[in-house]
Amino acid sequence: MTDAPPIIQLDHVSKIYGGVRAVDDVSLSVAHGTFLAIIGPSGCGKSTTIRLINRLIEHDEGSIRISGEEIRSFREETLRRRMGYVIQSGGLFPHWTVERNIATVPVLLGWKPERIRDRVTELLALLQLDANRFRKAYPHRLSGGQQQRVGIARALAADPDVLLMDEPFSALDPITRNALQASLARIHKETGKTIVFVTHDMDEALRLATQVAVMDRGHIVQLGTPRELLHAPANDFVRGFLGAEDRGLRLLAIETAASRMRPVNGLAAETPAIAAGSDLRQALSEMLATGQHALRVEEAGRVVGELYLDDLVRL
Amino acid sequence: MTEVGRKRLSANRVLLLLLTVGAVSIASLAFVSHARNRLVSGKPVGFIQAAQLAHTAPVTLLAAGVLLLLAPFLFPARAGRWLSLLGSGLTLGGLGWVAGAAAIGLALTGSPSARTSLGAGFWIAAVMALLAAGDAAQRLRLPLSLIWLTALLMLGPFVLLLGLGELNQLSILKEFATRHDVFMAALLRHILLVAGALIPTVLLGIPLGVAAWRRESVRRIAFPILNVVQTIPSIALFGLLIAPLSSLSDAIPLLPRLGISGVGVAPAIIALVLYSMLPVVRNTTEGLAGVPATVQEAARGMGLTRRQSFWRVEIPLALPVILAGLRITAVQAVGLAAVSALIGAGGLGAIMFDGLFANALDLVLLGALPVIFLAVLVDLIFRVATGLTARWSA
Repeated sequence: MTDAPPIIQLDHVSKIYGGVRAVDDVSLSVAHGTFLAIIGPSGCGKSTTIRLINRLIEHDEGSIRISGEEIRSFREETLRRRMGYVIQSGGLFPHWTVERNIATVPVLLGWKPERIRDRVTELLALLQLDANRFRKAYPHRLSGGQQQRVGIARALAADPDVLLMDEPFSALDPITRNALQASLARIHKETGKTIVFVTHDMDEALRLATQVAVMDRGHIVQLGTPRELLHAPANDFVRGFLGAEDRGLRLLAIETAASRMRPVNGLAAETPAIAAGSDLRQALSEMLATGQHALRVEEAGRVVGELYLDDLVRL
Repeated sequence: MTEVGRKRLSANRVLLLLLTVGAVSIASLAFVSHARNRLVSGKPVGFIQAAQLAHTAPVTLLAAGVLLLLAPFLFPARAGRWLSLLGSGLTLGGLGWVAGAAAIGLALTGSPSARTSLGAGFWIAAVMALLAAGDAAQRLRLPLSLIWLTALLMLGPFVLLLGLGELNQLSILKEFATRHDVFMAALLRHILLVAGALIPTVLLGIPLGVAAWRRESVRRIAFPILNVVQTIPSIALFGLLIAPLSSLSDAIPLLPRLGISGVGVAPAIIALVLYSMLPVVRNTTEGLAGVPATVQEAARGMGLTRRQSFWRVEIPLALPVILAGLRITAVQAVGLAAVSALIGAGGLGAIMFDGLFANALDLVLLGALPVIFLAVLVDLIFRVATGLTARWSA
């Protein structure tokens, strides 16, 4: 059995604006189920790249294929209805209710009303929005975080192959952003959707992505898993972007307590405990705050392991 | 005075002012004026004399209305305002009834050609009553669905008395009775003039507004021209159109047979359309330009075609602004259509000008009052329509 073609494939793609190569010879292959974060400073071409994929911007050179098919072989609209799209400020249609907003693509695809209604119910639940309260509400009644949840639900409505997200959380306050990141991580895990996510926030990229592409001046400077990036930054630009001083802490942030813990070996019951799903950075923070060298690791209220300072330092 | 009383007094300063002005004008100015015939000027009849002529029922209604108008000083805000709204309607009806009954009383003594017309005291008091109703209605912040109730409370008693014939001896209604057919024809013509101007304005103005939104070049040409047209005084524009249209209708024999010539309906409608264009075109362009870029991007990103995005997203979002432009245009056209009587277009303006030239004030009012009423009605209709299209932002 041969491997299925990558869901998104960019080959030597460039976009030129008045002589400036905003995207320059980018090649990228995204396998099914990948959560790809494209990260870089303002003007590096990350937003342009994502828009090239759904043809909001047409590329000038190279080829872009989706499941092996050249994107220009589709009608623009057909292509876009197969891809969910989420933008920074939500971009909800203010004159439509939450339900009608979420139903945008299903309506365009001609779904039956009862199927649309069921799908909306399902998505509101997935995005942790109370259907009774929000279904008939107009967007201006919603908070920024709620609007963005609806924006994600709308993008997922017709069960697209790919979810494209252009800095979806950068306008939100830290607490709301954190909650939405957690929701998105859960949705990625539950649905296995391929997600391409543009951000300028390295912590966000490292937290969510399975693959990170670092861009600078139209090029992809490095592509790899968060761990690969942190362990072996390709050059000073990437190292700088990872935050030279914070690199060690970020390394801790991408691994869970469960992944480094030792078997239970009789730590005293009064030793502070930490959830197995917490990352190692939280574990270190807990040790520093409580002045302990070791923590008990709990899962579902049961002690499942022990974590020592030495375990964190080990590479 | 109690603390609550002081607060209520200061919260209702507008009402207090209106009541004072109304009371002073009734006390000091002629309530009606009585003339032996249409040619001589009338003798003033004060309110006290009119009330004596009118007997109990009309005066009682007026007194009840005024008492209810005072309600906001005595009751909590919302209840007080509702009572005040009801009171202003009864006051208006009472004023009309006192005047009408006084006219009946005067008619019994005078000759058949004697005329009783409404005096300054009546008019000022009536306007104050309407303003009080407007004040109360505005402060109640009623939803659009209750506007009809406001209108009913404001005008109901007066219209009922009018319908019962209690005001028939007043000279303005006598003018109406003798000119019933002329009046109805003029009213219909007026409405046709306005509709005849609005329909082409919508059909031309909205597409032009869309084109101006899409293309800078259209914007650069259309707006300066429409702005210049807007600054030409209406009478001058009506006059300006006489010459070219006359020569056109002389040159093409078909045109006069279609009713198109230098004077009459054709130049009037052309001028009205020219005036009406600017608000419609400008608001269409501005309404569309006001659709947030993120919403447009989302529409395209979701896979709406350009046509779908235009009809389902951009037009609905621009509609309240477009309708606001139409409202301005329609109200303006109701007024300008009156002026177009000067070039023979007919309508209510013709009755006004007849009255002006014959020095018959009642005839002027017979033309002017329906124009005002039409303007208010058109304004209201478009406000309701605008509100309905913008429910999502409420």
